[in-house]
Amino acid sequence: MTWRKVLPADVLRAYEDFSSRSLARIPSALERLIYIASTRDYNSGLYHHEGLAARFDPVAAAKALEYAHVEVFRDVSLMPLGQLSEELEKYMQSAKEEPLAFLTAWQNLEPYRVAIPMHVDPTAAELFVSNIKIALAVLRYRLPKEPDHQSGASLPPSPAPRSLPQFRS
Amino acid sequence: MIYLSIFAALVLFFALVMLIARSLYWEPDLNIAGLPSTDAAGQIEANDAMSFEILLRAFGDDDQRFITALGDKHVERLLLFERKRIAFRWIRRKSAEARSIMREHANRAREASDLTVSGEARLAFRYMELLMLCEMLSLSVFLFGPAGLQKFAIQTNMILSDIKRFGNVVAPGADTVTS
Repeated sequence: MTWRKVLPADVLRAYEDFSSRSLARIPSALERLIYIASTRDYNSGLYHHEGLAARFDPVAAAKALEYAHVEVFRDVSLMPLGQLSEELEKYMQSAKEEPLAFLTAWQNLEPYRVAIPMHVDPTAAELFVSNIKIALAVLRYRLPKEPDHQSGASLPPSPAPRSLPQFRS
Repeated sequence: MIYLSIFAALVLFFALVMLIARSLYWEPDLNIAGLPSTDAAGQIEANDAMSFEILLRAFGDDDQRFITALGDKHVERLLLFERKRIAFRWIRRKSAEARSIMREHANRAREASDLTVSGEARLAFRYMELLMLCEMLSLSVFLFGPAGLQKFAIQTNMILSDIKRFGNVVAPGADTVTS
């Protein structure tokens, strides 16, 4: 990516180390994005990775994480919807939550917004949010449908019909 | 006279449609700062590349084919709504960048001594062309959605690149902080 041309040498070394040691082990781009975002402090916006900060200058390490975040974010936000839906499905399975609960939480709480880097193209950020919303809708549509309660085929027998209580006027 | 009235009515109608379209899709739900000021040249280059890729995704029809194959009307409507929103945002951003370049150019031109009439006319012509394309693109997106308008959007992007070159200024990320 273009940004690598302007990275200082120590940041570039930290970035390459982080990419080969940590990111390479994570199979999908979406999971990589969530992982890098988790190294950022929500209050200060600063990145910290224990291992990386021990091997490199902490400032360079934080910069490397920031660049890695932007790069992975770019990949995810420009991903075709089909691929993004697959990655989201894999992430949902790895989270070991009930799919319906996962989708409801993600659609209502929108936790994926914390994965947006601070210094990013605003339209790319909107595209990312938009694509995740659509991918969630795709996954919800693909969920096995709940049994039809109207048919009564798998329901226990209903109690005998009772008449409504009569009120005296 | 009747034809003229009909033409005027059509123009007014389209202007009204454009106003409604803009107000409907003005949803600045993200307020994210632009790229940091350090390494500005590399970041502007990266931003331009990113902007072009957003164009390809927002105005392309790959995602629409995927969703159509899925066969759910709700998801199709959601895709159309979301893509329109992104497309309108992209168009607004391009016209804002162009305005910013022209403003910057006008400021520089006041003090410049080597201006040429042909150069200025060419720049003004390209700027008008870009604004017109942006309006037409907005209208098309509003009426039909952005899918399939990729060539149109690429042309708009090319004209903006020309304006940047002619104006001899670098666009300072006109949309970096959104309303």
